[in-house]
Amino acid sequence: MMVRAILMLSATGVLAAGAPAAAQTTSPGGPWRAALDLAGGALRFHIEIFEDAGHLSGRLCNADACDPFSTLARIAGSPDSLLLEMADYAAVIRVRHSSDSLTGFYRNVGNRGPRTIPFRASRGSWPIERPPPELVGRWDAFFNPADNPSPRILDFRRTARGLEGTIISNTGDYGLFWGRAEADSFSMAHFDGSFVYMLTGQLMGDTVSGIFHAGLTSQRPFVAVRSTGEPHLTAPEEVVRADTTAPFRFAFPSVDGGMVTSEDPRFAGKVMIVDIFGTWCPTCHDAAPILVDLYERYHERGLEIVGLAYEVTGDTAIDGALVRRYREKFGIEFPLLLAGVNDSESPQATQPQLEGGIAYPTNIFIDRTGRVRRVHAGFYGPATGQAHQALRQEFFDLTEELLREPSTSSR
Amino acid sequence: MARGMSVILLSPAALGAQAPGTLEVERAEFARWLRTSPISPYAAIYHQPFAGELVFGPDAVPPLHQLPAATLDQGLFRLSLTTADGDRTVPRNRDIPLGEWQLRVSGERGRSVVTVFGEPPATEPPGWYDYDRRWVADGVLEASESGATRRMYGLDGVEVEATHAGTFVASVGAQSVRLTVFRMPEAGTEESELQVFFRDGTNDNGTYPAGRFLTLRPLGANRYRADFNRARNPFCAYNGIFPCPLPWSGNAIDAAVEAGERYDGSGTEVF
Repeated sequence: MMVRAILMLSATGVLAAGAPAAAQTTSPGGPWRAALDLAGGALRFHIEIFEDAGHLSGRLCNADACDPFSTLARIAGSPDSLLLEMADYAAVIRVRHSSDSLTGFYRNVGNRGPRTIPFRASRGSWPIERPPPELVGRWDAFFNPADNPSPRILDFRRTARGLEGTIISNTGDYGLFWGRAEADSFSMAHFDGSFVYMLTGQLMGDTVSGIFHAGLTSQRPFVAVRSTGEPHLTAPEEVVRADTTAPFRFAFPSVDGGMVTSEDPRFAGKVMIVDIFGTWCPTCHDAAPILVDLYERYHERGLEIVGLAYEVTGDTAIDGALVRRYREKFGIEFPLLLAGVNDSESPQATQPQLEGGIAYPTNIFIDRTGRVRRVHAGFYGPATGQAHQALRQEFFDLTEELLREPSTSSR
Repeated sequence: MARGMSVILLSPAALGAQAPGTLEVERAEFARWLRTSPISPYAAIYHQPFAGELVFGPDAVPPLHQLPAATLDQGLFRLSLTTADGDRTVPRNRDIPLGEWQLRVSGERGRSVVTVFGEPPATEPPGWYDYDRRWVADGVLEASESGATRRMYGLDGVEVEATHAGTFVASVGAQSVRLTVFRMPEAGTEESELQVFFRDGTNDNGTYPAGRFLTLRPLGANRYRADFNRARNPFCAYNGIFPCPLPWSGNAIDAAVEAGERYDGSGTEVF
């Protein structure tokens, strides 16, 4: 899954955060059905705004997956204007609000300047429009089928909220998509403040075809046929390969200070999972709870987990704070180390025993002798439904298997 | 094969995305970014492609006395910056402090570009022509048969691997035009834009001499909109340290396209 940077956006001097509502303004509190107007159509999602004694907060939702705005406040000097900020992505939604509408734009900033996309919202929720049974299930897709085919799996589910699903690539899923279907046509989207993704298409017999929209104007055609169960993507253990002839080595500073190395006595004779992750990586957030569960269940029996963070800035103070926040969010009790930055060079420089590039996350399963037994690139998050459950079970089964093996030698 | 260029009905969403009100917001945001952003092209003082080692400060060739002594090193796997304070890994597309300056490395491994930024100077952006609906052209894209790729400068003076997307066929003013279109990737994302780098009758007489960039907006059914009110200058128009793209062969429009971003002088010269 492609990644985006996490940047911090200062809104100092712009916001009237926490200021009481002006008497003449209508409260923006409540649910809103929202849309970004892309060149290829409306990307639908929901936002919820809460007002408590004049203090505003809110969240952005794709189906039932919601993330809070880092700041939601009236704009000083313009009481009918709101700023909904997503600081992690240097992104904001700036709107004027009336009693029943929000209109404005979404903006984030890249190397070539700001990108703005029109935004609008009305009170209430989008209608639920469930997909036809024929669409539900997994489809083997190719993006750019005519000139540069690139494999994906499309997963469509019919839920109480309408159409849900995701897109899966060789290195993980794109997060939860939500949308609607009408007759044989469908549209589902994922917008989290950074990624602006929408999949639109049509079911025609045994084929689904359409457009993958990214951002305001980017469009890529796709065509898909129903999955037969045969492998369509590169197997996760083939994306990244490891040297299995020698014990796996690492040595990085902990976010709590001091070095942690594979030679530390605490790891001798233990089964280990090395989790290569980044706090900026949504798929890594999906994987974290499973690692926490594994650690809780198997640590007493000899499982160690170490998280190697590849962060944004390379500045220990800033990256360390991000990783500590990640640790707190998931209740992680195993060590998290600052391994590098999330560019193409750094993981290869710091992990010379791995080949084929790095996906985020990559989980390396190591036996009691210190040898790599399995490398799993990417992760199937909850949005993938059955695939997520299957992968979770696979991780548990593999850990059990490695724990049952005798400790014949130490690393 | 050229296809008809009849007027098509736009969806409400597409109409909204094209409205002058939205364009005003885009322009205001962009002008604010040019004036105030730490990575505004106006704030750039140094821009240099490099493959191996790059030295800053008095020992650089030519000397860069304004910058502290430092070495940027593209190793086999790692990009690092060594200063008097020590050695650090450098991520791409992030601001890294270098004394009182900010350094940013972009591009790909092996084809890196470093830009150093200072304070944005008090430079007023060049502004735009008034919105004019006559300079909105809808047409078709004749897809490239080869899909050939080519290294070329993007709007920000950084080389990208662009893919020949085809030829945009439309009427611009009173002229039927055929404009070469490349798909330009956005680093680190799934996004890419269909872009045209074009010259017209306003070059050096209201707009930048080398030409301007325009992003095509899809309308569906292989139709695209070229809204010249959204034509943008390459970064070399703001600051002479950025390299300018060579004009794309054949992309010349006879008419004076009095729409989009203007130009009223040379780029700022630093160093």
